[in-house]
Amino acid sequence: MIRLLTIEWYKLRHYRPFWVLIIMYAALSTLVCSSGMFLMAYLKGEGADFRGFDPTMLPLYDFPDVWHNMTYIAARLKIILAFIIIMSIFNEINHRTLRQNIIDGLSKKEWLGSKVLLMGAISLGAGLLLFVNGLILGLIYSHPEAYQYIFQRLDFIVAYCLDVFTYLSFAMMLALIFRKGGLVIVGLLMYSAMFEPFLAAFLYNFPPLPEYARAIPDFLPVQSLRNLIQVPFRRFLLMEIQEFIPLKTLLIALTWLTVYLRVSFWLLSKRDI
Amino acid sequence: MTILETNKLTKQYKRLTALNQLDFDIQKGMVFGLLGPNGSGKTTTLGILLSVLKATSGTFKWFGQPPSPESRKKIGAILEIPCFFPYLTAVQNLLVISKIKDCPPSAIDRSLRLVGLYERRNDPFKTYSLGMKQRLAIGAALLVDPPVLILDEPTNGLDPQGIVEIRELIKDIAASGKTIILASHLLDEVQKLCSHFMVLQKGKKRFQGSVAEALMDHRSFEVAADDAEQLRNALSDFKGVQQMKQEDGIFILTPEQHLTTSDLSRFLFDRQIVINHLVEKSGSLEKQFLRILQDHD
Repeated sequence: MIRLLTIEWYKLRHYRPFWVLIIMYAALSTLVCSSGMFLMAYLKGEGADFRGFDPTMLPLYDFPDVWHNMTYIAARLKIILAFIIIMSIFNEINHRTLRQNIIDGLSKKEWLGSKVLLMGAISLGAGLLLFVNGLILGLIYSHPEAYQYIFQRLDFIVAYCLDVFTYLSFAMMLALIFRKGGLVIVGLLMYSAMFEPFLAAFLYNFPPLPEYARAIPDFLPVQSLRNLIQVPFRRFLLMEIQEFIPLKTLLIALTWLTVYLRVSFWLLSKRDI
Repeated sequence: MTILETNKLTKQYKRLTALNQLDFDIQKGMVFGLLGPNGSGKTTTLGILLSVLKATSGTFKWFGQPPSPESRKKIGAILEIPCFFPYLTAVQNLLVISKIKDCPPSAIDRSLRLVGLYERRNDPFKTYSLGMKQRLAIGAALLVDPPVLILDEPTNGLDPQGIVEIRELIKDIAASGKTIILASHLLDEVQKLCSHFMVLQKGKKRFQGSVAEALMDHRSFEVAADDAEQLRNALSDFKGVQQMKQEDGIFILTPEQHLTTSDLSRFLFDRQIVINHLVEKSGSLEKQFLRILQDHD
């Protein structure tokens, strides 16, 4: 396992776009997560008012809610991390190093394993970054009496790691199917940001559809991951929200993950490379 | 010792049969030329033997074992073009390969010196000339000092100096006792480098044998004398001539394998014929090759 991870490290550590994307993600994640209070102050300045609440009084960073709020926001950025995987796979196909690796004595399973380990490392790294950011922001903004809850609800960080890992596996599978870097990047972006959300909204809300159609979006690749960490902000409107990771969505996400990895391996072992 | 044996290897693309029931074997120490026109199935054969292409049917064994990643680690191979990460330097690229092949990083410097790239080892692969890329590929193949080396058109696209360099390198490696499989469409290259060869055409094996024997088959003696008539009479009595023809007063004989020019000289001397010209011309693979291909057209 160390060997496979080292191989991947040797391949990427001198590759500039890899570092650009990593830094871009880290910077953006930190920036977006830490700007909550500034955003609220801006909204207040613009005259926003949440049914009589002062927006700057919203406890965005109180422990343990900070984990839920931040993982929800950061999950929007995971496509940047997916670009890393797509690039890495595309490089190997384009420069035929995948082929040469097999010739040199790596099995296809090991090759895929090295990519899975890379995705695992990226997911854990992203989770760790979020944890550190949340800890710092919480310590800055949280009410002191909430400190006792610091390590509660860390399951949101775990769910976030799973979310990223599954999404990266999705991207890897697409890259292996289509073998064209640009096409996959644009396709993934369009699908995640436009096609599936609109489809889900349509299925959820279009009146003539039968009841069972409204259940379909929960099983779609992107929506099922979104369901892992659901919108937290309605809590501030004193609405009922889902404050835990539902078992059903967890199972759906894990099923997709299995499908992505199996299809990827099947493609590799079946095809001439 | 048998290094490689195949059993009815077949590769079927949609309509095209790229490889048809191919059987052959390679013994330790051979420099084995895989010869054939473009598109005859050379690269397909090597791709299957290196597990990057799936055979439609048939099996093969390396070192008497079914193919595995472990057996591939003992083979240094280049298929078609040198494949490296363009943004990594020679050392960084070989580091990846050393990790795959489980060999110590110290082998990298040795390999780079062997192929003459040590001075340029810290330059990115994309800055290399084609010849340097090809040399790096050979260096990568030699990284673990493997007993078997597979080279696919190693001089393709090189300038004359590059070709000479690569050929010298292959000769040196062959002299060290390694088994080499060399795919080429250049007859001259196979003739210069190989001990054995196989001819492929349209995915079928047309011939397999030793280069020396094939050349013996096609050698000729040229002989001439002041008195051509006398010489002709004498030659017609000389045993072991398969064919004789006359061109510009010179007789060209196709001798049987055991005959030497000394035999002919002694024979004519006994007949008291004075000759003014006696040369042995070795055959070329080219004639042999073209004949093989024609036989099957």
